[in-house]
Amino acid sequence: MNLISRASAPATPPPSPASQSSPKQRAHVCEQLVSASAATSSPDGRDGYQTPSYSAEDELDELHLDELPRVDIVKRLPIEISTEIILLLPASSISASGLVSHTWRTIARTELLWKRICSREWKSKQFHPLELHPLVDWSRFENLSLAETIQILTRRGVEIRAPTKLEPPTASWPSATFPVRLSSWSWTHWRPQNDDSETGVPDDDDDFAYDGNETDANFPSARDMPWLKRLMAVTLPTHAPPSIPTSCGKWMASYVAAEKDRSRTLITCSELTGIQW
Amino acid sequence: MVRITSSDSQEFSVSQDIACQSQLIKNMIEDVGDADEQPIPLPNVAGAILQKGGSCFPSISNAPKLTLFAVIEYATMHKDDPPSAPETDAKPSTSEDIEDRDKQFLNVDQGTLFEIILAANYLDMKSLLDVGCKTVANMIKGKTVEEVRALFNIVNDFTPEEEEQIRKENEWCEDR
Repeated sequence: MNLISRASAPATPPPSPASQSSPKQRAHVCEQLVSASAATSSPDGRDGYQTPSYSAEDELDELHLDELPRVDIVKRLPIEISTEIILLLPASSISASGLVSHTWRTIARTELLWKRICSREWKSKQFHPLELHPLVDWSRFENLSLAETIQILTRRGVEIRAPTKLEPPTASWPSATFPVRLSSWSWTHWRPQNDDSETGVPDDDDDFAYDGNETDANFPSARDMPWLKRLMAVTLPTHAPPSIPTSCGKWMASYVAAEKDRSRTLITCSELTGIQW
Repeated sequence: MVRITSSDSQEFSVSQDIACQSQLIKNMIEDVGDADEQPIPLPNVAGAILQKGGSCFPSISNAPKLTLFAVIEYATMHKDDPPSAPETDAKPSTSEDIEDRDKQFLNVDQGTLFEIILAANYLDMKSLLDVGCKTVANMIKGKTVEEVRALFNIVNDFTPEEEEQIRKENEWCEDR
């Protein structure tokens, strides 16, 4: 009975079964002394990540009674505490610890964790809001919100204007072959529009009298995402660091981009002219 | 004095200022008023678990310290500490700044350390939880993935394809 219940226990081969049980369960065990029915799955259910295939015999073989117990503390603790532990490490170690096991990877790739790392490491930029890094090919990421997309495009120097009836956006625009350099980016295809306050994009052309009736007040909205994505692809600056991993979250990608960009030793012409002195 | 009982019905009698380092106990006392009458039950914290040796739970018999006993020891050690300053954003928390006595205190086997962290979390003792987390972080720090696996007895449960993908994610920190 005991062996059966332990066979479904976490994949870490326990040097001793007792070290694997939480205090609650241990207390339970104590009350009933050696009643073997104590469930050994962890209370937070995180063992569900594991699909262990250990037989009871395997476990018996690995009971090294003479050794001090070695417990996968990070896995056994509640995830909020494990996250605090991982956060105490430098970012490169956090990235590397994703290679330890599935559970560790789940913890070390949490979106919120990397957002906290970004806010921790970029704390010196106290007058800049915490945003995703613009030097990533975000068109390869699926989970960007509309607001984040607009933020990134704005930071790349793109002014997002609503299309008009005179010049509606065509399905093929902007084309992937569109010759785009950030410095030469011009928006002759688009007419300015007065009100896009809903999206938080500042409109500095208030004095530009334009017939607002012809424009879509809700621009840009979620249905504009396809071409905003195309825009993301074609406005990627040429100095964006290559090979940012796409399998990780957006905040980790942002952090990696910032790290790689930090070692860049040249400043591009468009950046130089874009600085507001 | 405050009486607290562990999950295994061990009773401990500690002075109020020591017991109140646990936010949980402090709140309990404030809610109930005078705590002299009834012992406070802590069903999630084991006190003394089994007699040393001769048990079917080898790690428990190996545990050099008993969780609640250890936690009380820690609270006694820190009873004269000034109340913890509100968290300042200016001071980044690193795993290095552990007091020597705390380092000494948490120089225990992994099972005990795990129990202490869990107990600190349950009892809501922020300072103990912090040093516990820092201790684990220090154990991990500077180790390779293989060393971390060996340290915590973790089996590599990745397929070669998964491993390759994660290695790609980690490339940025390997070339420095």
